[in-house]
Amino acid sequence: MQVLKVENISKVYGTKKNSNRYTALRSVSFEVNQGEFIGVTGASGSGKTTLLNILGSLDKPTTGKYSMNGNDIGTMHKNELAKHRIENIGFIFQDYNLLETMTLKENIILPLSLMGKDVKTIEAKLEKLAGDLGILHVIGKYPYEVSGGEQQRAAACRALINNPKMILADEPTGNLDSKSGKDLLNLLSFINMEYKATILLVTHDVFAASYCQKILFIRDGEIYNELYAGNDKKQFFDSIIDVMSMLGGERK
Amino acid sequence: MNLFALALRNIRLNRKKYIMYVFSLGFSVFTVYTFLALMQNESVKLAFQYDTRYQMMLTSFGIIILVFVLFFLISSNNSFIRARKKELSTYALFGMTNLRIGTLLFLETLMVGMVTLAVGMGAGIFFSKLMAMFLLDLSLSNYVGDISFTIDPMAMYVTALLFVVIFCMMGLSALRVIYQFELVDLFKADKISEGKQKGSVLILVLSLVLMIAGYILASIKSTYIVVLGAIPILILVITGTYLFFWGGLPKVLSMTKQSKDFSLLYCNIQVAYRD
Repeated sequence: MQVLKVENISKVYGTKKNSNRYTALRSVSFEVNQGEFIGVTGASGSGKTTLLNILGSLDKPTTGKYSMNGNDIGTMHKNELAKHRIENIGFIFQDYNLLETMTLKENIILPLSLMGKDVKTIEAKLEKLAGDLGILHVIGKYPYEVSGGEQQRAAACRALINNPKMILADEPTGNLDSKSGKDLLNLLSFINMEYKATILLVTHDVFAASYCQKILFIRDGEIYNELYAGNDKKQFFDSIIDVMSMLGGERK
Repeated sequence: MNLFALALRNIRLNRKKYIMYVFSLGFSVFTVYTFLALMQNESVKLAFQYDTRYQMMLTSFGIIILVFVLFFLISSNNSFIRARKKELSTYALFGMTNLRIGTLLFLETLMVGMVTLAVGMGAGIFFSKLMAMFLLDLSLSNYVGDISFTIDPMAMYVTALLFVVIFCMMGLSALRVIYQFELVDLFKADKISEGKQKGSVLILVLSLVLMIAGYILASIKSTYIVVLGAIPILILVITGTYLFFWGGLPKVLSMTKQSKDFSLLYCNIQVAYRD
């Protein structure tokens, strides 16, 4: 089943009169199907974060169309967009964005309690999810009391709690050490398998990208290449590096 | 989650920032109450019954302080909110409307404000006799009667009313700041600087003219003009100074930045200002 369809999206920063116009994305098109684990990678400044912002409906494309489950997102109003975000998208950020004033548990259930769900449903959901993600023992603590890896897992838990159609992760391993980063990537794979969640992972880390099933390489605002994972992980990793070096090599 | 509970919790966790807030706000309340009470004070009235100048002076001081408090509170409140941008955007991302975020902040302001109002007014009442004594001593009036300790309900009422109005204005201005937030900034919150004021030559000139006019008026050595012109002088100097810092000084700085000789010569000063 198709979750997301992106058609010819472009994004230009700066107004027409302004001399420093900058094209961040040039007619990008792709599709995402239910249950896919997609990586978006590219050098810094290639437009991957812009793409993520647009897909997360935090920003609007200058031209082009994109729809989620058949609903055109571009035509939505501010309030509709807010509703769409809560119901359909889960966000995981590089710096977690957990609220310091709340315990992990309260952070995780924030989307649900703002939606006004009753306590029983929330508790049941939380119990299962936190158990699966291995943070049940620290759930009563405040973000500053636990490790970065645990914070990021709590953030992942928060992103998952209202069963979004798609999870957007922006460099989720960027602030983690290699062990916690690896744990988190394994967790994302687990979420992808177990919950059939559709995940879009933006990263410039080759190792993180190698966990995905499909990788989109972006260069100068365009999709430069696509790569599908085979059975051999090592081979996939190598071919990512090949493409990466090709991306850089052509510039000289 | 209950907004009221959330507001209490936010105050508790931001208590370091709020303590600074309580001190400055409490001092403002104290000052405003003191001036209002002094104007109503029987002994003070008796001492100055033939001298309208002091009544005028007290009123002018009261106005200066109020205007200062108003700008100070609103701008400090707004920068406090900007510092909490990330937290507030996270609320918005997970489905809190801007209006509810505004209400949350308003509740916080109100809770802290009410406590501060009580503390400041308590201090004002406690020191009211001392302040009256100070004034009568400093003003060299020949008042020899006994200065009694008074609690002035009228001054309390007016102070409370004034500050509740100021709190409401703070709430509205906070709401405006919240509506300016863009969710995109969540991804790059640390990289964005608070927008720079460009300023304009017109405001620079206007502010200088206003300030100079005010000071010239004030330096005329005629009691009659000084008494009559107290309020116009105040208005001229206050608006002039405000305009100068708001629109004039940024213009001066951007002009110095454009001139390469100057900015390279004085780059240390520029860096110091920008920080």
